[in-house]
Amino acid sequence: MLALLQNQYDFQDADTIYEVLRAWLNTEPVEGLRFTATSSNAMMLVTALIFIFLLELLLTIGIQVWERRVLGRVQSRRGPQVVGNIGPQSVRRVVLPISILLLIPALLYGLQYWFGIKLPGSMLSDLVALCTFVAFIIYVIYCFGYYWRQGLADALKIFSKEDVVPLNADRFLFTVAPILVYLPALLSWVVIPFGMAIVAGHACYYMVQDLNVGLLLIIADFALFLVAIIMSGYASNNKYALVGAMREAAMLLTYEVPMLMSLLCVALFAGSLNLTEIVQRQTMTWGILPLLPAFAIYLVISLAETNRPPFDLPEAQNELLGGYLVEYSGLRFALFYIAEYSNVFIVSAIMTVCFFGGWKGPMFLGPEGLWLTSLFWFLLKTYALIYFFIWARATMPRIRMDQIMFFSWKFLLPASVVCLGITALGVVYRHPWFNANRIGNYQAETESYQYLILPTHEVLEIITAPERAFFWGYSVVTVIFTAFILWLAWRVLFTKRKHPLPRREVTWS
Amino acid sequence: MTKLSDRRAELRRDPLLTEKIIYAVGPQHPSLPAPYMLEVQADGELIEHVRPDIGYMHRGVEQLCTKRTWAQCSGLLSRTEWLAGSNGDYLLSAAVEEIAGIEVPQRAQWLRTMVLELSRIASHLFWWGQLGLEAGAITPIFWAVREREGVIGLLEELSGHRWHHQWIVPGGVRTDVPQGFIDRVGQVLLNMEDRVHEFEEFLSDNAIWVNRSELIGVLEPEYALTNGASGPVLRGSGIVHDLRRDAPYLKYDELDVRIPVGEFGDVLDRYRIRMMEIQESTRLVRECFNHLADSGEAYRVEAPVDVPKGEAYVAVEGPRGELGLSAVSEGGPNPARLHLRGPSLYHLFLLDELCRGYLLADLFVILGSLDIMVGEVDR
Repeated sequence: MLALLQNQYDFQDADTIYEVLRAWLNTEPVEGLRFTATSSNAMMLVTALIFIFLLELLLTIGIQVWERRVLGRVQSRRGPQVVGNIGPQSVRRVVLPISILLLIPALLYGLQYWFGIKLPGSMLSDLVALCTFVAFIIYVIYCFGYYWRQGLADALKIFSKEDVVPLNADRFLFTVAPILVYLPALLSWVVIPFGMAIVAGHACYYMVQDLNVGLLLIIADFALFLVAIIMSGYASNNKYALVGAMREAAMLLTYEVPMLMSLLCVALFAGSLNLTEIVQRQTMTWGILPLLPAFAIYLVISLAETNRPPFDLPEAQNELLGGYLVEYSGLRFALFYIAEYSNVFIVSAIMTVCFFGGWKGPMFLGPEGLWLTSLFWFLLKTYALIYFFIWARATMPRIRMDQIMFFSWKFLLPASVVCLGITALGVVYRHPWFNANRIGNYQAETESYQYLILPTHEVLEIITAPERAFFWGYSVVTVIFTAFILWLAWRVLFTKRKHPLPRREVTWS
Repeated sequence: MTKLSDRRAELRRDPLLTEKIIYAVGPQHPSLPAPYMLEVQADGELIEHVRPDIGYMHRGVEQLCTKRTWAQCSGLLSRTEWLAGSNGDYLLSAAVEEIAGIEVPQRAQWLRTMVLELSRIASHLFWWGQLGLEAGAITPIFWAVREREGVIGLLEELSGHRWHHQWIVPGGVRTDVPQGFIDRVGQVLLNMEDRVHEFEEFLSDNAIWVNRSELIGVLEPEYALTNGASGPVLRGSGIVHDLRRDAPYLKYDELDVRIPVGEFGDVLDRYRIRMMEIQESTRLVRECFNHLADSGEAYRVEAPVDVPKGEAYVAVEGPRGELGLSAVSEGGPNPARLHLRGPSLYHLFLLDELCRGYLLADLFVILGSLDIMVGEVDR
């Protein structure tokens, strides 16, 4: 059966969708788009960047409106997006005519075929493609759903604001800082694997570049983020901004080490820094099960890493008036803002990739529907984790700086070192708890990871006896674990409880 | 010119030659409900001095009162304590009644007691939300204002005003309670007891909040007494002092007022005391109902426009502490002199002692626990 599959899909040459697209464009250049073998590298780079930018906007603008809806729900108020189904009138008056105007060339182009009218095609072909694309993007953003429109309105508002630079600010650094904040947030999207698909018999990943050091790149991006924030805090020439930046510096230095340790556990467990490989290695079990302590550590750190409550000290709204953001407005502020939500998405995506099996899940549409189901599972897991961020924001007061430091240096760091040590020993001495995912590959190194996309009962037919034993063992553990989580959720949500921390009693006089 | 040796000595003491930062918190700042300024001198984030700078909202209420008739003054006085507006009305009425020797009907006294306790609940609820914001939790303010809305609605039904009621007038209360009012109060209170329980679960049981507030901003009892602290701030330091019991006014001598007292004098104690006081006040309002039925029909006697010559000091245990009014009448329709004792003014100047040695983030939590009402500070 494996041989059959191998004939059909060449898994060994699994590539990114970007590479496939480039290869296809190189072999069959599309007339009018002018992709040729010589110019394709630069063109494809631009295309990839635009694609990433749009993807980022699409996926992150939704988050902040969603967040505000959830907050509104928690706080028993209405929240945003109360302007009706078509948006506020001002937006309706602008967006709809523009997108209709843009569609006119496409309509004209279509007329040739509908009515047999011949128009000068060479003039129109480029324009039509461009206009239709832009109109499509506007329509997608405007009409696709409930959440994007409010985001678009916010974006329009923020773009139309006055751009203020304080008089005594360091103009150069002040201007460069938002760009440097935004760039790493954009860069990380290059290596996130959103899923996989089978295109023309090739298995390929939804990502731009399948880097061998993808995990390292993302960690490095977060370190760059810190530099830019110190820049912005210094350049603003404001005490609050400076204190915010210093807080950020102290906090990130504190958290970088345990974060690296917990991600190193994943790297050891998967045997790779390549994000697609990390996903592919989680065959028998997701990473969260053997690496539960590492996941818990990373979950806490991810809140601090993205400056989300309860770790939002650098931009504490009611202490530091927004911290390093205090002097920024308009487009510059928007860059900080998008970067923050982009970081939230990236961190959740990393957690999904490293601990929740990436795009893996029941592939209910079979190999042909892989492109849809993989994307579905990836986004489902990621947004579930993002919900955790929103939830934390709605419920937690802010932690104090010294408490964060104590917590990280005295608890998280030792815990992550112990966690790393145990994982390393387990991997080196081939303890079954840390090696369940390797046995499959051990047996069938050459046959690779084919059964990843098969339904479970077919996988069970393929795998060997020890693999099957691990499968059932992990299944039992997973069921127990899930039952525990459900019990915990039930207890939290539906029972009157006594908090472990006793309230301080006052005496009555 | 400094000698090189001096310079060396200085460098050895402080190799980086660091300066103290002076933060100007306010006059516009998200943590401050109304304009005043805190000049915070800090070593990095470690606070060394806090100097409150007041006067941004000075309106000259006491002086303006002397240009108005006694009845008109209550409108101004309730604007010094706007979260519990009935306190100002009551103070003025009590002063007039004491100088003119008016005996207020029983029913009016019970109704006044009830309204004062209701406004204490309203004020404490808003304080809870505000404190949540100061601690960095955004949800409490919305929940608190939602619950406060019920109480405000009751007072609005009673008086026609939401904040500045002017329902308590010299000689009694302006109107009797409307039909079915008692039932509606009962419903609101019943609902609120559940909600306050929810609030307690949300913030009081939160480990982050307890860590933020425990042994922060400790107020020593001696310092509190010598610097004029009162109300929950004083009781948080372990001193049992409550005007409702120690110098009973209205009908508090017939009520069984239980007073929560703290032990350590920190933010957490002040927090716990206010939360307990909300529950205690709901109980007191219920007790007022029981007495209301057999307190007669009359709710108001005529008070003269011209108040005779005399002098009076009346005080009320407001939500923030002892709110006192000293009034001098020289006959005629206007007060000759008026002085308000606002507890927040004293509490604001405790900040320097409370914040010294704590971090900048603690300043706002301590400020929240003192519950400063700027209308009393700048009047």
